[in-house]
Amino acid sequence: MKCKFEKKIGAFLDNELQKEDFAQVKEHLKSCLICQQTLRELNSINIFFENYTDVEVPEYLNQRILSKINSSVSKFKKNIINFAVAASIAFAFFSGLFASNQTFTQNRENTEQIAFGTESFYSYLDWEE
Amino acid sequence: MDKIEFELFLRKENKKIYNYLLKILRNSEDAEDVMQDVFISFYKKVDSVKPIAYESYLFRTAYHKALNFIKKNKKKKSIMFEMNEMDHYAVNEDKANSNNNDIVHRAMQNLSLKDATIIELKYFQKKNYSEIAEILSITSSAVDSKLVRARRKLKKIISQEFSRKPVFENRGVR
Repeated sequence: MKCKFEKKIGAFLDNELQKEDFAQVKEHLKSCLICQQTLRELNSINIFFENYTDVEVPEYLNQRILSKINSSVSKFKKNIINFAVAASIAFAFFSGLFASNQTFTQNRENTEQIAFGTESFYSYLDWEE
Repeated sequence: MDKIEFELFLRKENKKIYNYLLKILRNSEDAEDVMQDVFISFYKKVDSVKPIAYESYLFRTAYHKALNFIKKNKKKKSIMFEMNEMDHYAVNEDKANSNNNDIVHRAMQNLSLKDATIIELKYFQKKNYSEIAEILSITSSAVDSKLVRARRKLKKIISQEFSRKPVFENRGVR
């Protein structure tokens, strides 16, 4: 047999019902054996937990966590330093590459200019002829 | 969060997480490993969490880490389970009457992780329905119904435990 109030017993026990609902269930409980039984059943586990005492956390566990945090932080710092060194090397390498490329281009331009100058000179001579 | 703030937070919250893990995992070594994982993961992600939500975020992390741990160890546990649990039962049988913690641990370990977590939040962390709902990402009415169901299961387990029948079942991930 079921009672329509039964599903509210848990919230009643936990004091999670609105004021009106709470009063209604409280009144209902006076006469309903099903709901009284449900209330007793749900309430009975409170006694089970009563004598439970929290266990202290061993200090070595706190220390283990803190040292892991410290090592992960220093690992992070080490990674940043490694990254900075790698970035500097890469920057130096590419700067060097860019500079040599610039020199090469400039030399090529100069050579072309000389070649052009020579050509012009010869064409001038041709023209002179 | 800097290292000093983290240490203060760790010392404030460690006991509740440790005791939760002791209740739901099979032994203290497992609880210690998972707890370490929980706090390190929390530290790495804490900057994206609002300070007001630290506690619920930490508990959610603990729940998920424990879930992953159980999943990973499911296979290994199923091989080792019977022998270990029978040893555990034999060793602790005399102590069981005087040590209520032991009975609570064993009863909680026979619930599904979700049911054990909802019981933990209600009875040990003293959370109300809306706080439990937030931590488990469910509605308050779902908390109500799940809590009733978890209480009934626990009641059944306790009755079996007190009648001295071993109730160990191989808990998988549900």
